[in-house]
Amino acid sequence: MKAAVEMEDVHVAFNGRDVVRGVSASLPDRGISVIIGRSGCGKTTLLRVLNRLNEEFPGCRTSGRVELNLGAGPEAVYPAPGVRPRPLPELRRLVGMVFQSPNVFPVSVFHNIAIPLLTVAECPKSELADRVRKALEDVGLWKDVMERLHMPAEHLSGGQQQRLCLARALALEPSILLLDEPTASLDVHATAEVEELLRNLAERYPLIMVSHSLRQALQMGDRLLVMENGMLTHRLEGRASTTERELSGLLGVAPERLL
Amino acid sequence: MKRPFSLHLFRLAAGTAPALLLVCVGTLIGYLSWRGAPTLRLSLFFGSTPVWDGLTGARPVWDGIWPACAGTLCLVGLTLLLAVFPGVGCGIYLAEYASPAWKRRIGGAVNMLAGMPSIVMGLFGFSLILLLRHSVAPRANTGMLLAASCLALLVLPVLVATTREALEAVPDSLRLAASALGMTPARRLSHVLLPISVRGIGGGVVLALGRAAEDTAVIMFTGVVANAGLPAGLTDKFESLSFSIYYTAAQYQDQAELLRGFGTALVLLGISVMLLCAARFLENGYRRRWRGGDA
Repeated sequence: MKAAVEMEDVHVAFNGRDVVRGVSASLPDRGISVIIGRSGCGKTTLLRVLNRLNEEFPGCRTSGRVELNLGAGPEAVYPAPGVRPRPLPELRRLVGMVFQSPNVFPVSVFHNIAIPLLTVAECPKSELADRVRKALEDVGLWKDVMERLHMPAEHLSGGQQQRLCLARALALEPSILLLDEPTASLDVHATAEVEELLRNLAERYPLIMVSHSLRQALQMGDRLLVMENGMLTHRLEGRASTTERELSGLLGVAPERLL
Repeated sequence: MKRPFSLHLFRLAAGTAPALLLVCVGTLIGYLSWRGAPTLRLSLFFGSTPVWDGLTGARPVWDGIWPACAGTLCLVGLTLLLAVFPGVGCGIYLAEYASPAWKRRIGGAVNMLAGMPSIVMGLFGFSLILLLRHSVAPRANTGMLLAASCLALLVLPVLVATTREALEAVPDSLRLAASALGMTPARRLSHVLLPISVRGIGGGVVLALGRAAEDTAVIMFTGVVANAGLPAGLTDKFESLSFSIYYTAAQYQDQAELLRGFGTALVLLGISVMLLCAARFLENGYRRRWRGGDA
C-alpha cells in the first residue's frame, strides 16, 4: 500500500513552547488512522500539521519533513531549501478537514457548499447545483434537505450539521480527510450515523482522525497512534487486537475516563 | 424557598426600565404629533407655490419646508457617500489586518474623534475655509460639500466601531473553518465574514444616518442658511430640516409659525424612520439571498 502521509521528526512550537516533539510516522492511503491521547498531548496540533492550519495561530513554528500524496506522488508540504510546496489554499482544498463542533456558516445549506466551491475550487456556475447535490448525496443528507436547500444551515440538527461540514469538505474533491474529534459534540444516535458514514468514506479516502473516545478508536481505527506529551509513544496495527483496558493502560488513565 | 428581597427589587427595576423607555418615547412622539400633525398639509411643504412647480424648483418656495427636506436628504446622502467607504474600510482593517500596536494607535484616534463635540467639528470646517481663503483659494466658501465632509468626520467613528465590533463578533471557529477549506484571507472576508456581519455594519450605517440628519451644530458653521431654495450644487448654500427647526424655535413670530416648527420636527422624524426602514429593507434582501428562507 502506498503512503498517504510521511512525517519525519516533526516539531511544532507555539511562542517557543513545544507542543509536538519529534513525531515520525507513515500512514497508508486507505483506512482510518486514529490519533489518541490525553487532552493537551498535542494530537490536534499534529493533525493540523498536515494542512498547515497551525499557521493560522500566532507564534507557530513547525520543523521537520512532511510529505503527502495528493494524487501526484509524495510531495513536500513545508518550504525547504530547493522545495517549493503548493500554495496554502490549494493544499487545504486537497486536505479536507472537519472540526470538533459543527461549524456551518450561518448561510443557507446550499451556500454552505456553494461558497467554497465557487471561491476555492472555481467551479463554473453551471455545474454548481450538480456538485452541491453530489456532495450532499455522498454524506447521505440529500434526501433530508432536498426540499430545504435554501433554509439556514443552523436549523439542521447537530448530526446533520456535522454531515454538512463533511459534505462541504468533500465537495472540494480532497485527497485526504482530517477529522478532529468529529463526534465529540454529538449525541449517541448522531454519533452512530457519523461513524457509519466515516466507515464508508474510508473506502475512498485516507482518513486521519483524532478521537476522544477509546471505544470509538478501537471500533473504527485500522491503526492507532498513541500520543503522550507531544510524542508518539505507541503504534497499534489492525482492528480489535487490543482491548479498552490495554489501551487505557498505554495511556495511563482509567478506561472509563474520557480523554 | 423564599426569594431574597434584593432579587425582587432587581426584578422590579428590570421591569420598570423598559416601561420608562416606552413612556418617554411615547410621550415624545405623542406630543410632537399632537402639536405638529394638524400642520401637516401641502402648504407646510410648499407654502403658496403650486406643488409641481415647487417640487421641481421651477418656482421658489418661500414659506414651505420642501427645500429643507431636499437639503437634508442631499446632505445625508452625500455624507454617507463620503463616510461609508473609509469608515467601513477602517473597521475592516482594525478587525482583520491591524497588528496590536496599530489597533491601539488607530483605535485611540477613532475614540478621540468620537469624543469630539459636533460644534468643534463645525468650527474646524469654518476655519478650514478661512485658511483656504487666505492661501490657495481666495474664493472658497462654505457649502454643501464642506458641511457633508464635516458631518462625515462626525459619523466616521460610529461606522468604524460598529464594523469592527460586527467583524470581531464572528466566532474564530468560522474563520478557522474558512481557512481550512482553502479560502484566502481576502475570499474569507468577502464571502464569509462580511455576509455574516452585514447586520451589524448596517446598524452602524443607520446610526450614522440618523446622526447626520439631526445634527445642527456642524452645518450651522459650514453652509446652512434659512433661505436658499432647493440645493443647487456642491459649493452652494442649502437649507436643512434640523436648522429650520432650530431657527423657527428661536425666531418664531406667532403661534402658527411655532406649530409649523412642530410639523417640521415631525417630518424630520418621518424622514429618519423612512431611511431606517430603507436600510433594513436592503439588509433583509441581502440576508435572504445568503441565508435563504425564514431567517
